[in-house]
Amino acid sequence: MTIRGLVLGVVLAAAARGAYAQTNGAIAGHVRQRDSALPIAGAQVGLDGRWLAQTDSAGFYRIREVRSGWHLVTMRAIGFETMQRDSVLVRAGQVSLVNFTVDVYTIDKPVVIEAFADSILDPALVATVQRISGEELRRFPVTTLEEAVSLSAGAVGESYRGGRLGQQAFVLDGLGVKNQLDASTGPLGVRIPPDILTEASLVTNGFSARYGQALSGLINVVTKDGGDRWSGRAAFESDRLLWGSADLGLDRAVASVDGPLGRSAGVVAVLDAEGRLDADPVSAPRPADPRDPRNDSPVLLPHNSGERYDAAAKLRVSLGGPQTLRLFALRSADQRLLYAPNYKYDEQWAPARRVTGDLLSAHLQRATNNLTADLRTGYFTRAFIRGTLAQQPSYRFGAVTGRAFHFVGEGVARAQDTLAARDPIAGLAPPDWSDRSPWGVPAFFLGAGSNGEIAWNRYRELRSQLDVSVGGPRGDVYFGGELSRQRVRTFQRVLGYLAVGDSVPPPTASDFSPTSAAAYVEAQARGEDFVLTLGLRYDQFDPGTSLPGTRVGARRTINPRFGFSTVLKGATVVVSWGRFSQAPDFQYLVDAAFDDTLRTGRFRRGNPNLGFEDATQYELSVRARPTPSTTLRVNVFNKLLDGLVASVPLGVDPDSTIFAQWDFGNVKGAEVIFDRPLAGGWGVRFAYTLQQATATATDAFQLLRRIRLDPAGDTIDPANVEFPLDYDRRHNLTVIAQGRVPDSAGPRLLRPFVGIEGAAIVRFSSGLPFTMTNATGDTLIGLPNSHRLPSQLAVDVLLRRPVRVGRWQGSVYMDVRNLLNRRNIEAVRRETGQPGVTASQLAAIAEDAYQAHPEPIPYESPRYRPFADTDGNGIVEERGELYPLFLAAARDYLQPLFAYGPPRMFRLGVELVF
Amino acid sequence: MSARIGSAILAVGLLAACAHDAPFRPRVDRPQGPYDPTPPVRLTRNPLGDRFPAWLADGTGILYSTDRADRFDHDRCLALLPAAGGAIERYICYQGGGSDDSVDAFESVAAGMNGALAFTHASAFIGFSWPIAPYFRSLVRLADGAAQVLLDVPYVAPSGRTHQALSHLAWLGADTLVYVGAQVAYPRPCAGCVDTLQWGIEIALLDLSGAVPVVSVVPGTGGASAVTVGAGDTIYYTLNGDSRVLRRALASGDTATVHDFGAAGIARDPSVRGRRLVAVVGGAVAFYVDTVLGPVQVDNGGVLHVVDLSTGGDSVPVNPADLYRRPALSPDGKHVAVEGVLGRATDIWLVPLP
Repeated sequence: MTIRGLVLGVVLAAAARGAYAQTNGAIAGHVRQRDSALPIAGAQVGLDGRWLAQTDSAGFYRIREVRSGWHLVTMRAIGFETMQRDSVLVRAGQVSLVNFTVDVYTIDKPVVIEAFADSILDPALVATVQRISGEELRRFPVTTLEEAVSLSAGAVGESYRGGRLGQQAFVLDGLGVKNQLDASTGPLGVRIPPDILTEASLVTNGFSARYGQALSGLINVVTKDGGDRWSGRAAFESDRLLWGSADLGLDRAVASVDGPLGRSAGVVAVLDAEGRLDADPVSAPRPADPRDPRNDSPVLLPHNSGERYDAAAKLRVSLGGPQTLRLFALRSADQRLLYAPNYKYDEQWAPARRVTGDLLSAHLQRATNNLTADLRTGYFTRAFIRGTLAQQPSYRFGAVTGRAFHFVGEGVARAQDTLAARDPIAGLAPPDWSDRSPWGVPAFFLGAGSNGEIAWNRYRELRSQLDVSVGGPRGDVYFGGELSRQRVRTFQRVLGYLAVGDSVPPPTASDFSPTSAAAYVEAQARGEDFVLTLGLRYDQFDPGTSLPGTRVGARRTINPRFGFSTVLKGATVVVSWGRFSQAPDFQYLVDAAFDDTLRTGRFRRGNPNLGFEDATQYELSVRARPTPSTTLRVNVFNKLLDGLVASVPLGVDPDSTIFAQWDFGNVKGAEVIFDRPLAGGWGVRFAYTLQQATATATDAFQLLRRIRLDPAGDTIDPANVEFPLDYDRRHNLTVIAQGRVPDSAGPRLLRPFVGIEGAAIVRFSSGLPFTMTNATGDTLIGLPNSHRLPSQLAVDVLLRRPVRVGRWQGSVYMDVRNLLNRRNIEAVRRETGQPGVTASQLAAIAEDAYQAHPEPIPYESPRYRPFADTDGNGIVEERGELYPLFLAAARDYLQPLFAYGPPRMFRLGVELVF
Repeated sequence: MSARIGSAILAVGLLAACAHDAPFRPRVDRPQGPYDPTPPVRLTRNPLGDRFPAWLADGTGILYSTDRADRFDHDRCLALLPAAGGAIERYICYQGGGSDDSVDAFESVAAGMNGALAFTHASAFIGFSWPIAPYFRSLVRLADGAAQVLLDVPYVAPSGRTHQALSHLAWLGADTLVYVGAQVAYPRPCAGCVDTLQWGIEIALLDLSGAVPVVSVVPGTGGASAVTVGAGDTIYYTLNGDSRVLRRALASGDTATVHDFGAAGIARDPSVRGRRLVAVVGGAVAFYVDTVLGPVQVDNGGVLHVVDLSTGGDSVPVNPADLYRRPALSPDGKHVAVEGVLGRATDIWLVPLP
């Protein structure tokens, strides 16, 4: 088939809509006679044993709302043999073409069935979608869904198209899941084990009016249904067999199973557990001083371990006819010890964190070819706590403790007892200068007590969602709505070892129950060579009356969306425009007490009257197939941001601030994506992004001040200046290459390599912006974020060799991240523009510390260090003996550990598939 | 089980059996013994002051009160040294409310058999060098990590006399403390004169067995300058301006002189283990009757004496020219931890006995 023919076929098939960011796709095609090419009208087409569609007078058929995954398509017509096409892959939001060509007179003659899917040239697909399948996740050197999605063009970690963290939404099997409490500063709380994935995709624009609560992107996940035969997978991967800097203390075990339960039900269950002795390894240079314990072991950081557990299960029950019920449960737990440089020598006082999430959902679907109704209900809860551990963890296997962390003051925090919390919290002691460092001097390093912080919050949401789609001959209509009842509870206390007083802010707590609701309608009309999509979405949220200071009533917004696509000279051109809104993080509605590293304040006043944050997006996309086996996509976009939350001064106190919605910005850019899927033993994908993201404030905690000049006695209040956002990555190139050594090819010498699969990911990106200040940190040099970090390069590789163990298939694999062990700089000091301080800064910092504690250190003091007592009189005293200790301590403390990215990391894995 | 499956299980087992490397651990380079082991052994070299040594009940460590030059509030904390010297193992400092706004002193520590500590706490406004006039004094018990204020000082004792300070704390069993109730005066400082005077007035007992601590005074101990405990309910004590060491059985009230240092001078600070007595005698001590304050004893240290109570033999195990205070015999009676007044500062010394 020629490209033109393919394009026309796609258009004339008038396929189902681009069901953007959902669980379903569609199957369409034609049934024709071989010799005459005449269409066969009235032929029945079935899917997985159910007859769902009939061909029209032109021989075309369409099956809508087909769940993502592998399907059996059957065609029958009077006078013809029934024909089947097995293993038709349908992907969410995509149309798979299945054409049947038969001879009208003789059933013995061969029939031709073509089956393929094409989201590139399908004009009905308006949204910009980059997808990765569960199988690719297994083949690529990625471990989590987040890592997989970050391979997409326009992604910088979990920031999409320059957006702030939290401006994305997560859709799991069609059900929206979002941490509405603190998405901008905290994780979602639940993680999808990759083994339960059918596919995941990142939708960065033009997504359906059915979805809201996102400004920058939509992560759409479709999970497996239980199959018709039992299968499973067990894998264990580790770096235990390695040594030195290659052993980072990693262990991961995965077990999954799926299969039928009787004739009408299926089940999938997955357990994914991982422990890491250093959950955030860095490739910082080895310190030169041999007395620094990191000199011997520069890679693994103490008190930096992490463990996570993700368990998911899904039950599908066919209720007869077109009704299907799906029940899904997911539980995630993630607990981390957090390395703190000031507690390097008294690590038991460093903070720790635990985040848990649970998701229970039910999905009742009634699907016919003309009308599909989905009723979904989900209960999502997320709990977060950070503070001082009541007891240090005891490792059982690697970094796995198997037990939940408990925190000092956890009871007070959970009870939100702000009265009791005004007193010192039992179990917390004030920190003091550590005497356990190699340098001994009372500076930089702390011990005896923690920083006294306890932060806890819990977010619960019960969401119900109804989606209806009605199909017609020339178009489809979609409508529905959702209602979400939430409950937010927060507690924060700082300096908990002291009673609340002049220098200790009071504890903050909140307990309120917002309600969110939405409704949408969307229509898609298909012409001869174009598809027009129009949508309208209504959103509202109401913080409720239990929040002090809130105004009465809900905040409302209406967002229209528009998409037009057509085929021009072999390429599909899509123009889309839409307004998008999301409620602000609920954490900004309440007071926030925190101790930020920028020292911009330890308190922000909450603003319960905040409204929606908005974005207006324009996009032009061109999609083409340069050759039948390759695709090319070019997207150009412009996104206007408005009403984003920022901190603004309140009153004359320089540290008195309140959350407000004065921030606005703009993201514009272009993406080029070239793809050659794996075929003939190799495949490759290039994704390049050119982007500029600017705004007036880069996150909600950043103080947004207007520059006030007073050259002649008058105050001048210039217009707000936009500057690059934190995730403004100008250039980003990702290349993914895959290959497989054929079973039969190659000389005898290569036989041991037969069947080996490999995948490599090369990422090159220009540096992110940062702000420079003068040496004291109180004056900016240039505008905020007007300087750039160095570029970054990373090469990840995964090699897998299939093996057979008895009747079982399996494989052994090696996954290497940052193969070149490149030392990428991820952050720098604001006053130097370098990861570390300068020699003169170091001397000044050491001098200040010495001047604060010039007292002699007697022999019996735990601070006494024999090597420093150069005159051997039993006392370390005077500048000559003391200052070198302060200098060494400063050099130790100021090591720029987290300025560097991860080092080279290995995983050796064994996998059994049964 | 086929050989292949066995091999696979073995491979996974080997993979899991290997141990991970561990993160780095601090290596603290601290002295393990005294600076100079030549007797008498100087255990501390604090340029400020170390005072009031007391042994742990099991003899493994020495508690004392130390001025912390490294704290900006210059608190006087308790410190725990290994019995053989070396680096301080633990500090106990005041960390309650307002600790950064005051100068706090923990002194006169006594360690009980059950690990409980008793000590005095005095507090003064920050800005003073160590308290000229503390605005707050108390007697504190620290047991199982919890501190409890037993007494607020001053208080009026059952004898009708006001105890303005406490000294020479000692545990008499698990539930009773014995100490010297003292008087304090603050003459106007002048060149070469002391600014704080504290002298004993009587011996008191504090019964902790009930819900509320109960103070009683040991009859006939008026003018006591120091006290220590012996076996059973026996206490040994000295009197202001007196060269004798007295013994009293609390239950019977029997009192006897166990040793009289006679011309050697005023005896004070006794410590008894078995048949061995140590005390400070003579030296820089003065006893006089002040026209306003009455009988006052000022002690700037004296000569360390060791007496064999079986024979009455008296010896001086150190240079008689050196001045010491507050000797404390180790539980095995073979060492004396003592406050040496040598030079401007006082330090803790360890004197081995034959």
